[in-house]
Amino acid sequence: MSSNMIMLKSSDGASFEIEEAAARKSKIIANMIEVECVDEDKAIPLQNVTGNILALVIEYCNKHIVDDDDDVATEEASEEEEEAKKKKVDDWEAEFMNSMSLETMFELLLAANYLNIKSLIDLVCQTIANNIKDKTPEEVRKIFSIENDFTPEEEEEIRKENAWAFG
Amino acid sequence: MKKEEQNRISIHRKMEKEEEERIWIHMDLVIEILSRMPVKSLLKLKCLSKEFSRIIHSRNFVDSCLACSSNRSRLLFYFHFYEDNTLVFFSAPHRLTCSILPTRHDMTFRGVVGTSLRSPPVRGLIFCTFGPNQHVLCNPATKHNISLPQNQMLRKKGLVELLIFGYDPIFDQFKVLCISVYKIVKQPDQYQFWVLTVGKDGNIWRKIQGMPPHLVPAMRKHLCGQTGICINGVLYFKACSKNQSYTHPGNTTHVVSFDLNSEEFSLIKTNSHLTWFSKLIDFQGKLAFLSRVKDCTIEFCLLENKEWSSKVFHLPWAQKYSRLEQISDSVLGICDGEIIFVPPKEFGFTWHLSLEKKTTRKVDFHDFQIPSNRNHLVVFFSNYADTTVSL
Repeated sequence: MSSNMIMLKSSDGASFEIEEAAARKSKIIANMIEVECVDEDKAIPLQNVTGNILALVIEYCNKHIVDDDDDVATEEASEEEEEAKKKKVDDWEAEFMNSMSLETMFELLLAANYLNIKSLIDLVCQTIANNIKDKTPEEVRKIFSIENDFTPEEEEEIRKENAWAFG
Repeated sequence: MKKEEQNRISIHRKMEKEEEERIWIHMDLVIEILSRMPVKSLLKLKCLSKEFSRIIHSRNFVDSCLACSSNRSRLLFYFHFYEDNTLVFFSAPHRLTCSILPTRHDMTFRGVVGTSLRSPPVRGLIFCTFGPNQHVLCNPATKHNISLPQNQMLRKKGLVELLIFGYDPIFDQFKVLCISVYKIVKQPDQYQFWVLTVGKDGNIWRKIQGMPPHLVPAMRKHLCGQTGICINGVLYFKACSKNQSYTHPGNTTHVVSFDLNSEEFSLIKTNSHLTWFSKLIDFQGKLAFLSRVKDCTIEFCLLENKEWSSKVFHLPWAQKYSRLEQISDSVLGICDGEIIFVPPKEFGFTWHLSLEKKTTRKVDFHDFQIPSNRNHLVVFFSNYADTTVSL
């Protein structure tokens, strides 16, 4: 495993040290490393990510770099072992997302999107989807500040057509 | 709404000192989130606003739902109860676990016949036949359905139909290919070909030409339950030479393709291992089928760049089934690199064969009871996805 360390700097000026292998989870940072525009002594400025969110991103990347290495080492792992390992990752991810507020999830999603970390985008989108799926339309409108532009009759029509879904 | 506020939505961020700030989220990310929700929730969210209602049924949205198919791909099965002629649908996720819990779609159809021949689901829609020249498209996830128009040019007496349902991604339209023939004693079979573009072209059946003249489509009993299959805008069905019995050992079974966009028939390269009972399957957008070499040895044949290749596998449970077609009929399809089988005449589990590792595993239905002890036929499909396609 490469032990090269990279410095990242958040929009609010906090600096974080991260292993290069973990930082490469972000396609944007990986590209920067490829084209050698990373100066070893200088931190990479991430203007769209605040320190508290960047800390979460780094926690996620550090955890997953270890898992990826395991995959390479144990290609011949049995089905049970693989299932157990997958469960371990799932449990960690559930714990990681648990207790995060919806606001933080959206900020994390924006950061993952900006840094282009596909697996984190998937995780956060799925968690937000699970969080919202049982809410009423009124609650969802409030979360997203969506203006209802249906007339009461139009809205009633949609509700009638799909009455079973509102049950 | 100001221009820069379009295509995105916001949520409030509570700041220190009770100030509030908005977090802007681009619509692309909102769609990413929505595409991971169950259809039931999406139908509720249709009444959020006109824009959401439009997005949820849009083609792009359905495409992104199908793109995260590892989350959405499901096993679909329905019971056809003969006594009161009803269909009851169930679906269950494909997971890497040892057991799954099927959920019931409370949609019941009455007066169903002809479920012995079927066309696999396409973009979450199922094609059902209610009688000669009477067909319905349904979406088990939204519980909506529509009756398709009857073909006014067909009379019912002696009519035998073969219908294949598909989707043309170029023009974003659903089409049905109908092959009709009148089985009348002492008269030669006259095959006719019809196409219906669902909801377009005045919604009428159009007669088309162009089937390779030396071939006739395989009809009825010779199909192992399957009429044909749609892969990336192309229908595939089996055919054989005129004036020869399908079951004749020396007779070659061919695959004919029908491009839903150009509406042209073509002949696929012959594979001598293909028989009248081989089930055609979609392997990551490519045509494939299974053939039995001997006892538990199975050959997986795949068409790539117009050439057939094959891989041999061991299926431990195949020993139980002496008839070749039982193995072929049990193949449901492919999900996440595994071939899924449902054992003939047994209910309650599926077999999964990993193409890469060549290992097999069994997945049990957890807590599931057949909804009635009446006489029934149960029909399975893999590669079904819950979608919001509207009818």
